[in-house]
Amino acid sequence: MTEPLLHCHELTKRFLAGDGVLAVDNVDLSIQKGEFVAITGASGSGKTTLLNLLGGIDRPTYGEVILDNRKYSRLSESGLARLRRTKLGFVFQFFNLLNDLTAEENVALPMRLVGLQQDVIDKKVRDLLHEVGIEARASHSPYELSGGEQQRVAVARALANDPLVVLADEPTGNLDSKNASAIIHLFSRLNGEKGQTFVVVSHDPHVAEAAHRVVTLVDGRISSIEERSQS
Amino acid sequence: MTLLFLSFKNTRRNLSRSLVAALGMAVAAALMTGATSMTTGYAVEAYQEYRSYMAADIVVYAGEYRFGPAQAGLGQEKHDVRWTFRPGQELEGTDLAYFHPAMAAWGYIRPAGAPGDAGAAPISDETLKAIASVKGVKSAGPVPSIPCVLKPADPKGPANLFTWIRGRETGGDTVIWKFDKFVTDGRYFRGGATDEALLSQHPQKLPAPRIGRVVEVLLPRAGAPSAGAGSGAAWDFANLIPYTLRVVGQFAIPTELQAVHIPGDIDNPARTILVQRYWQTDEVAVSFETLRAMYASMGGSGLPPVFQAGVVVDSMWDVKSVASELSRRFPSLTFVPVPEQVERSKWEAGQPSVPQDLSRIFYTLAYAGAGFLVMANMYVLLSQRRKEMGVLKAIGASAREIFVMVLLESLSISLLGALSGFIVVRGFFSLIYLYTDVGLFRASMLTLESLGRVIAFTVGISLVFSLGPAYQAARLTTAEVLKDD
Repeated sequence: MTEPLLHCHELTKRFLAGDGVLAVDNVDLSIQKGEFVAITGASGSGKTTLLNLLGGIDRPTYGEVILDNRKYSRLSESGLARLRRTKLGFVFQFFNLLNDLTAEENVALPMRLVGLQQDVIDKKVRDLLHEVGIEARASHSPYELSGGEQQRVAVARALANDPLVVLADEPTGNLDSKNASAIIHLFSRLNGEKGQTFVVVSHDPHVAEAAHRVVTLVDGRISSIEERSQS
Repeated sequence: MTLLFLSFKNTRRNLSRSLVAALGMAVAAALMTGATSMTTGYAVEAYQEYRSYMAADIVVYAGEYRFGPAQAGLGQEKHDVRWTFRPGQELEGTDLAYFHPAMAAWGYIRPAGAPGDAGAAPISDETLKAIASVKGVKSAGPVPSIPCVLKPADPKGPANLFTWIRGRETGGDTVIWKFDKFVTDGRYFRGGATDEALLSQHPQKLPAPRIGRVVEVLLPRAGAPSAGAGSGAAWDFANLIPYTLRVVGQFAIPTELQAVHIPGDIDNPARTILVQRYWQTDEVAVSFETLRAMYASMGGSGLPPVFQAGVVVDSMWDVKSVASELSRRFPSLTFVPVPEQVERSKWEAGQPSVPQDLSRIFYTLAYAGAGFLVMANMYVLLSQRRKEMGVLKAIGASAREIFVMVLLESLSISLLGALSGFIVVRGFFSLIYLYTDVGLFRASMLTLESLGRVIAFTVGISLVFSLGPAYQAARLTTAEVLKDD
């Protein structure tokens, strides 16, 4: 058994508001390099909270997350920011592109934060936009793009710094079936051809169908992990 | 660079609100620029007149006068150097008198123990040549002077006036400092004549001697022991020697154009006219030849000992560094740049600086208002951009970077406004200069430091008032923001 790329141990998150909601309860999960893992569950089951914890966006109440042998608990806020910048990519349900920037500027942003040379950025932006099939819309602003196009730009942005893992939160939740299918297909292709690791939170059964493993959460706990054979 | 890039992008996001904040800052900067130009700026311009009077950028005094650290800068606290001012009448109603009452008084300031006092060796020709050879120095010339008593032209007028006769080469002055304005009437000296004098205008003290009149001065004897404070070490006033001079011209230093209201009557409407005011001094200017002849009649030979000299520099911008270099090379002399001397005169006069204080209050209040506008603008912008901050954090921007980004954004808006205000005021002064004779533009050009002040103040205010919004933005967490989404 190889060392998992992303691993969480006894991961627990309790929100203190109100009666103190246990959003994630003692979760152990290991994700191997090159895996495509879908996390499903009913609304309020803790999927997004778990994804935020795995992405270092939120701090756990208890437990540990380890990415590429780095324990999140040992990282400062700026250390976590650096980790998100270089090792992780995020795709959100509502795309969350910066409206003042064009598609290519949005994709370039994580690379600018890392401090890459402009010519390197330019080349990589072209490659990524080509990869997600939207290079013709490079100079368009997000509000000039359809939902599916915006999500492709968001995927390109997530891939900008060659992350170890792409974490996606309901990436098809705001898309019509055709665009949703295209995004799932894009994830599958990137996973299959480039070995990109994906952890995708989704209600969408098509996402589950595309995944290697499907983790189902109930009340913040893992109720089942289903291994799926890929054709 | 990324943060700067985002800052500029964000500034455009809500252009109208950003412009309101920038406008507030522009008004504040305009007030500050105008205020500093009209107070400090005018004061700085005043030294142009003083420089004309001295015919030099740096005044050299014989002897060493030490200035403590407090005197290193200008406009500082009180100092312990004794500068002497001779009593004289104030010019009423002129800006120069208002801003520099000491300069508007009779004579000029000098350190105690300067020319003529015991202990100071005269400045030799060799020393002047050595000074003139220093890099940055255009010329160095002596300012020989003799104390005297000027007898009144009108026997019924005021009593004898103690004054100084200064040897001047006004022909050269005309070229260097445009002394055509300096001499308001009459002509310059003829070569070879030893009885010609230019008299300063002093109508309130003595009936102004008309051109062509002969005036009598009483000279001390040269080489006598000290006759007490103010009279110098080398002059004996016990036995005064009469010497007659012909008035060939009068001089006064122009200070300002003053608006004078003339009431109307049945035939003429009321009107306002501009009257040229002058800095009135009580001195006699003669040529070197005349001074030499006078000194000979006093029992001396050649020119009287030179206890004061003037240095003209290649560039006025270098005046302080040249003075510093001269001080280093000639430690037995004192070099005082004219602007510094003007500043010292202000201290010595104990000027309360009321206009500067008032203007400071006005522009400080304006800046505070502008700061609040900037802060409000940033808070509004942040409320609209919570999600963006969250996304930026998710893709790897640290709290510190978000903090800096908000500060940069606020700074760019503020500087945009402040520079606009600065440029508008400078442009306004230029227009005034084009259509009137009021030299605010020249004054403002001399105070490039006001640009530095505007920038420094703007940066400071902008940073202080943006700390709150920046801190709030930096504290936002992605999880919290996306949950609200």
